[in-house]
Amino acid sequence: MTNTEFVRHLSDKMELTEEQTEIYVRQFVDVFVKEISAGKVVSVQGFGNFESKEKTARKMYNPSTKSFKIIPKKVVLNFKMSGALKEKINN
Amino acid sequence: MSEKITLQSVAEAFSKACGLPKKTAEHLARAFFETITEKLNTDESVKINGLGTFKIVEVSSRESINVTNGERILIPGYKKVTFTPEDGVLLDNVVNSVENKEEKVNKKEAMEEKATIKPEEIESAKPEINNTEENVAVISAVVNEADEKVEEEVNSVLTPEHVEIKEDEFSGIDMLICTPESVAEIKLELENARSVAAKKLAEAKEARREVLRLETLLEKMENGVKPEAVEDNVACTNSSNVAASVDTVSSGVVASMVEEATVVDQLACAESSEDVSADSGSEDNSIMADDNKIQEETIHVAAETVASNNDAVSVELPNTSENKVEASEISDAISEETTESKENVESMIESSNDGVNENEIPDAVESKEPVEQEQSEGDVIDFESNNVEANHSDSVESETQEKDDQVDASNEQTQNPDVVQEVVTASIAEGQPKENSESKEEVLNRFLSDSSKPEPVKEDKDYWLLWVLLPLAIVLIVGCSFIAFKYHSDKQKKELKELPVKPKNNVTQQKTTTYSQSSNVKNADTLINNSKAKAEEKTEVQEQKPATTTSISKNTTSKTSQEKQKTYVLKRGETLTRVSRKFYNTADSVNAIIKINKIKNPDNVQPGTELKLP
Repeated sequence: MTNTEFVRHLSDKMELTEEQTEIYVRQFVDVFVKEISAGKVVSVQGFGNFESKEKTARKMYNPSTKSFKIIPKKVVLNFKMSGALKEKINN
Repeated sequence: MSEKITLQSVAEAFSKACGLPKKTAEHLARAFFETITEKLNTDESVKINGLGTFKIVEVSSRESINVTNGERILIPGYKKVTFTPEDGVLLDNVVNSVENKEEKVNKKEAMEEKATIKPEEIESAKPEINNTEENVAVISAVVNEADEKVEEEVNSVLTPEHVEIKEDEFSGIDMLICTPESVAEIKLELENARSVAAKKLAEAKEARREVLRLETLLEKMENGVKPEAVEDNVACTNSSNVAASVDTVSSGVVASMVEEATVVDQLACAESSEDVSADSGSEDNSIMADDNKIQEETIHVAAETVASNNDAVSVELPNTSENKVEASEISDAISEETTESKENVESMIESSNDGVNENEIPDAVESKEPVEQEQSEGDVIDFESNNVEANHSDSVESETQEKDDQVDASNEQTQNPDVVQEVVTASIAEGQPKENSESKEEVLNRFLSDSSKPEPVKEDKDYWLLWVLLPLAIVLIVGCSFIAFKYHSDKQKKELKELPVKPKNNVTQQKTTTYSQSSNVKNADTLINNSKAKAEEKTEVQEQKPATTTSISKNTTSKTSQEKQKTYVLKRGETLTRVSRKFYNTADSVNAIIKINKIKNPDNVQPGTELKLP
């Protein structure tokens, strides 16, 4: 499902125009990501937890060039679904 | 640690950012995730720009073990939602440069470690090379020791050096008998034989070919005697100036025999020997000598005179009756011819002696060279076998008798070095008559009686038995060695055979040739025993190595069998799930089977593959 489909579906639910909902969605996502990147764990009830996780730098070996490459550490958005979502999905 | 906030707080922030009322913001936020869940149920994947993709992944059921009971538990499969963030989301561009530097340092260290490992590996590889070199050295040392032992044995059996030289002289006589044509043919054959022998390392092959060559040589020698009579002058002139003076073929033989005697002494000795021969006619040999006298003509006389000219004429008289009788005949013809030929003969003899001793071949004695080389190349077995074969096949022919007589004479020479020359002359004189109706035993009896040995008759009987037994033993030895070489020719030739076999062959060949001509029958027996022992040792050595290799392979197979404890060979049309059902009554241990067997593609497993069962 693409973003546009998602926005269309959401607009139907919110009884808003697609353009407006798209703007809202973008703003919401920006705020959402900003909160997470601030180091906060956002727990969405019935859906899961969004969390920023730090991946440590590691050494990578490229077998074709036989050279080592260092992948620097980075922060990754991590999501863990909740039990409620699991039940919803599996039933 | 990290502050945990709910979606509501996010909605507040969202409402502040976009100016929406709180309720609508919260409603929108909830609707946002509700739609995601709904769409996940239908489409299984939802992509949101700026955030990432939510995806439903099915987790298959798996088997586990209850830690408390140890029972197998089936964890049922389920669906889960995975989220892959969009690239660059939450990426902290603030990367610690310090950490990068540290890792670079680590990288360099790792590279240095590699560099250090390389020389170590090289060093570790070197000892292996050293080991191989050591092995080669050990093998060569063993070979040298064996050669030394052989030499010692040969020396112990051999009579003093001067006897050997005389034997070589006899070999030279054989050569002189050859006509130039036969010599040329023999040379060609020899060259071919040498090239072939150098290429092929196997002893058995060499021996057989050399046997054939020697047989051909004997035949040619035998054939060559008759034409020589016609071509005497040419042959003699080519080989030696002495031949011109002598009309018959025997002149060549005589010339070779004359080597040690001076001309003046020869004449006097011949005259004195004539008288003694007449007196000694009463002896056993005298009868045979009488027959020889009638048959032998001037040729024989000339040869005998030369023979009788040898240094110790006075000593010869009592011992050899035949020589005396013959010498009387010879003396008549010799008086005219010998004076001219003496000088040439002496020079020829010296050259032949030098060539025999040092293996150096003078230009004038070209005819001698090939024969000597052949003899040196040929194994003892071959030489003896040729003689034996000649005895069997050509027993009727007098030519073979001549050769046998010569060999016998050489054998006797070793026994009595002082009388050697006399005996030799006698043997030649006897052998020369082509029409000799005398049997070999009689000839042998003469020689034995001449050599004044205590047990002549017994040795003769033993001697003939040996002649019969020798070829059989030789054939067995050659066959065994040939089979052994064929068996292990491919792998073991390079290291083992090239080094040890070549020197052994050379040593044995040279020594054995000298032996066969000079040594007594007893010596010949010892030689045969030695050669048998050598052949057996070689075969044993060759057999031991393959045995070790087979044992190693057996060990490896046993190890592999031990490793395979619980295995199942996949049949055609069988799947891993069926296998798991067959052994565990569930299809859920498939993953375990795949994990243990490290199967990359469980959907395509070839039938016949062995599966380890967990």
